[in-house]
Amino acid sequence: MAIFTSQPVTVTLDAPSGPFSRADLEFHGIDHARASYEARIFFDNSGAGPDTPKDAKHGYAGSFYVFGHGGCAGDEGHCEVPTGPARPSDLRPEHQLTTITQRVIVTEPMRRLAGKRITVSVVPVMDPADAADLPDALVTDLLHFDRINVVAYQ
Amino acid sequence: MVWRYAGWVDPGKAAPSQIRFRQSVTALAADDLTALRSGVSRMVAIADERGYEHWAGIHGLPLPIYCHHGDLFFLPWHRAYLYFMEQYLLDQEPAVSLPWWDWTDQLGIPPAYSDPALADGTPNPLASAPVTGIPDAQFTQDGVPRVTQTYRRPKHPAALPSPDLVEQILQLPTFDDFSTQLEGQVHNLVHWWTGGTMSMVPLAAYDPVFWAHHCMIDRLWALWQLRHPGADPDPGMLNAALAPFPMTVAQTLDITSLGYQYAQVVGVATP
Repeated sequence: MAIFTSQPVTVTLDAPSGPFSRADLEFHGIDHARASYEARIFFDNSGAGPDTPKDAKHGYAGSFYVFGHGGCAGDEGHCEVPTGPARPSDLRPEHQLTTITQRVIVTEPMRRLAGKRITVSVVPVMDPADAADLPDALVTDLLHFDRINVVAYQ
Repeated sequence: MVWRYAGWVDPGKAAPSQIRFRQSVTALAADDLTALRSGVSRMVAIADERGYEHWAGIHGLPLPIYCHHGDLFFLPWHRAYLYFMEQYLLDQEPAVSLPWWDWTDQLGIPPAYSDPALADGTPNPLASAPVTGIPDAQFTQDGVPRVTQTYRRPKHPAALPSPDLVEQILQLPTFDDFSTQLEGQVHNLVHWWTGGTMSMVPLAAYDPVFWAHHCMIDRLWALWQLRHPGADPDPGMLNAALAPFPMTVAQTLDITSLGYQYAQVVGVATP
């Protein structure tokens, strides 16, 4: 029985200062190779965890959801994503485990913090019962991404 | 001319009666639900490429995994997937169509899919399906668990997508934005919410409710297309093939040419 032990990730960024009609957080390079989970985003609440209420008072700004690939079912090397440029004549689709991008619309939460330096905490959440069905490798240290872009629309 | 699986046909020759009407699962008449259950049961009993195991396996295990997630082929690929699966379902039950589960309205697994048994005491084929045809070697130590039947662990109904969220996404004007939001905020959420095998890419399509969930996703794309005519995927995508199906992205854009609709004519008036 596996126990879900993925930790939150906290970064700092500057909220847009000028007027905007929409603001997004773009998460690039998200690993989706293992279990499915919800990633809850909190502003200025670096202590947020799975039990933190999803409301403005606690800095909740939105979530994205990862539909997990469920580990590797192939032989050695099957789940290694190719690196470097593809051959020009290689028409195969991207590797199944190529990292993904998620975009979360956070207009109102960002307006409340416009122009300020803020912390963004991303909290991975799994149902413990779902986690218990899976091997440790699928539910441990789940949350990985390369960067967050703040995107403001005028 | 539009494309159909059997060749190129003139859409003008397709009689309106040939357009199937995909209904909400909560609106299915008793006969429709019986036909759906019969069709699924018959497909489950077939072990070759006409059978349920084969069609569930295209999405995940056995390898190769063909499904597209996290890219802009997500919607076209799953539309093609539903289309071809539905053709084999029709071979078993000619009057059936895939129904959709509107999780913004039906807050929980629909009873048609959650009731464990039918009135006569036999198991409900929509509640769970066998997971078969996957070689032992593909259940690895660090992969999804070996199961013989699908199962679910639904979460609190309040966690399902809200009508407001769906409406916000339907208003997005570009295919890129719409597809990304629909997948990451809604589609993935419902897989996660349903839990169990539905939350595992390699096994999700074995669960009969997978098809009702994806039919709703497909319906939302169709509704979005009506609101944003011409807002198609990037032209560079249109001629891409949607393996393993003999269909391109362009050929998924018009659902009427694929022989189905999410609305039907309910009245006619003449001057």
